[in-house]
Amino acid sequence: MDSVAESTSPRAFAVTFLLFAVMLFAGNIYAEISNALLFYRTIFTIWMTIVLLIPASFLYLAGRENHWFRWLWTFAFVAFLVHFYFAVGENHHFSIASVYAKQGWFTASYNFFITVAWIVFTVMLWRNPRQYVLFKHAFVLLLLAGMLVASIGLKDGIVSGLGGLLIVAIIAGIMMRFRKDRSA
Amino acid sequence: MMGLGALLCGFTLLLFLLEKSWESPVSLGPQQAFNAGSIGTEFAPLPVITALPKLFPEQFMPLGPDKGDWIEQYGFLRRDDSPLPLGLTVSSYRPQSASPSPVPFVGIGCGTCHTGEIVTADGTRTRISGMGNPALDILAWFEAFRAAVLARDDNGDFRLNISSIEQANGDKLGLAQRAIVYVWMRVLRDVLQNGLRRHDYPYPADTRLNALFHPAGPGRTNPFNTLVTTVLDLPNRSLTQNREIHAFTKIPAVYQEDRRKWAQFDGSIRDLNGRSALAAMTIGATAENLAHEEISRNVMLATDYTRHLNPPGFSQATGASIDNERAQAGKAVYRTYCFSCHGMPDANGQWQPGERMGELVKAEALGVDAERVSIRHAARLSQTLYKRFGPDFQKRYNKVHPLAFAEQDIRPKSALDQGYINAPIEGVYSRAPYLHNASILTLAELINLIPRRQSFPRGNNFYDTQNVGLSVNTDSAAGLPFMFDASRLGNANHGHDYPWAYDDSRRDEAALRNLLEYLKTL
Ligand code: HEC
Ligand code: HEC
Repeated sequence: MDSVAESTSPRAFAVTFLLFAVMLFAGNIYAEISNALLFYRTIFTIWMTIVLLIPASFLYLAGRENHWFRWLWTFAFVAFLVHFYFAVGENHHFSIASVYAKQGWFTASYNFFITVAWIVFTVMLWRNPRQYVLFKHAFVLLLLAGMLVASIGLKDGIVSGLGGLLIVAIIAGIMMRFRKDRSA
Repeated sequence: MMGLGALLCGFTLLLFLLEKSWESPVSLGPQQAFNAGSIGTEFAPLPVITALPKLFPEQFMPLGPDKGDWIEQYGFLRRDDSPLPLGLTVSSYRPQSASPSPVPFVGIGCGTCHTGEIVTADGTRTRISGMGNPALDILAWFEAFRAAVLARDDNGDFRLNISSIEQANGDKLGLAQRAIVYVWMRVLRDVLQNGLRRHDYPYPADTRLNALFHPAGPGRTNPFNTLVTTVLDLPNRSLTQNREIHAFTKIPAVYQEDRRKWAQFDGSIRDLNGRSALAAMTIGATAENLAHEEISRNVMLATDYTRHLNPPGFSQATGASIDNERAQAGKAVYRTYCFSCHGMPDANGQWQPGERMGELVKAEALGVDAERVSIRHAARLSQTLYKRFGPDFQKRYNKVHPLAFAEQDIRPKSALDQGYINAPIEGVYSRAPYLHNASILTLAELINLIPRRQSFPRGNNFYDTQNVGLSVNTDSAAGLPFMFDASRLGNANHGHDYPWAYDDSRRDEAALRNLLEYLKTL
């Protein structure tokens, strides 16, 4: 079993944290000078999530579950939590009924389910790195599928661009895994 | 790396928490929302507004320091409980975005324009909610503000700055407040400086209330000019001649708005909330901040306030009596010559629509000044405004704007369709000066009982109970500084010769006298 000590490599943490912090700072400043503070806070936090998910999914799919992998997934999750706070907390005043009314049954259920599953997933990354593989695969599949559908569906320039990069990362990750499998 | 990361995250979190602490949403009733609620028109920090008259007395007391303060000189209405005049709003919202601010911002609320006073010769003042303020020269006041923000001292430094503001108020600003005021000033100066190409440098301060330099004057604005130039970013030119347009518009009364299917002098909008949103937009609100929960609620409440608003009766407001017998006789004249277009109340006070009420009439048919309905880009404007609150907003922000209106609720579809709407005239005694361009001081002149004056002084005019409208007297220290001249563009006072033109041989003076008496009862 991977030792957790190895996974908490200070360098991987510091780089990922800095990437997260720079995006958080820049995104918030952008929102501050826009005319729609909450809207852009909600949007830029989902951009942050996708940016972090791009290398994270590559590493996951390529089977490289190293310390970078764990920190990227963890900070992607933190970015998503911030997004969740703005989206559900500030926009809907934590009213689940209001989220359902706005997003519809399917999307809202998906979003709430993914949030809970992501919590479990993150805990597992640290506590049971080699276990519950099926759950993790299923979660990543569902999450990436959702991100792709949303980023294409939203027709927002930046989100679609990020969606495109995510697809590239997914394909590259899968190819890496096959090459590794074959050479093994 | 970790340190930098922590710093950036810490700063962002701190800003977020501070902003939470600056938020101070208020929940108002309809009348308060109308008089004091933010409608997204925040334009300057409160400490700046309080400092300006001290720093720039020449701009804000252009008639001189002994002619009353800025509230009096520009025709605002005084409040007992605040140094600010009635209608100016104070909120914790930054301009345009409604993001939280540590320093309060001042905006223009509905009541600033739509509350007026009847001042009789004995000095009695009757404040009427919903009446257009006939004394308010808000465009000249805005110009004073623009001049102050751009003014430099002999060294070429801006006279309005953080330390001059603090000095004038005798009060220090906090760190965050300074930061916001500083950024506000930088952004505004950029905007104003870029605008010099279109607006030029302000004229000297002593021209502020002079009709030759600031032709809108008391009781009027130029709302469609602002919309065309800011929303379309085009010059506001005439449909019929190759020149700029002079569509000065009286601040109208907003009584019983539910009776009006289509509002505004040109009957261009049917949805009342949408109409209010456009009013706010004319004075600086954005589609974004108008979508803010509190602001959109205020706009809707203020709108609701106007739906069934009634003015007091003529006698109550002016202290003058009505001759009931003559009024009764005048009613018949009104029914014959006026009812079809304007409607009239029945025995129960219910307004009965005439068969032409709500119809648009061409300016030529009425014979009145045509500027207000000769806007070249009228159709383009209505289409753009519809989109801004409707599909464009929805596409961009993925939600429906709370003040969105339907495409069929705004017009014209073609600029050629512009005209003046036949509308009810409740509380007509309080709508002076008359016509959309405020070009006729009294009802006696409007109905051609007496000849129409071609020029007259304006400002804080006394009420004229005899001719029903405004007189050319005042007890205001500011006097009547603005000379209205009907021969200037946009000021024509001809037309609407009902029942008869002044030189019409059928003109019956006794009938007109009775009609005037009846009009007092509306
Ligand atoms: C800067 C002054 C100003 C402010 C502030 C203002 N208005 Fe107006 N309002 C006007 C003017 C001028 C018009 C006439 C526009 C036209 O027809 O050209 C008008 C027209 C209207 C009308 C149509 C009246 C009719 O019968 O046709 C309504 C209703 C109205 N305003 C309500 C409001 C409300 C509600 C607010 C606040 C949300 C507001 N206004 C704020 C100046 C103002
Ligand atoms: C053909 C329809 C028509 C008839 C008939 C008519 N009016 Fe008007 N009236 C209008 C229109 C349209 C306006 C707006 C014109 C403008 O503002 O320039 C108006 C404006 C007015 C105003 C000014 C309202 C304001 O806010 O300043 C008054 C007062 C008025 N009419 C009274 C009368 C009286 C009294 C009669 C009968 C003697 C009469 N009207 C006959 C169509 C008509």
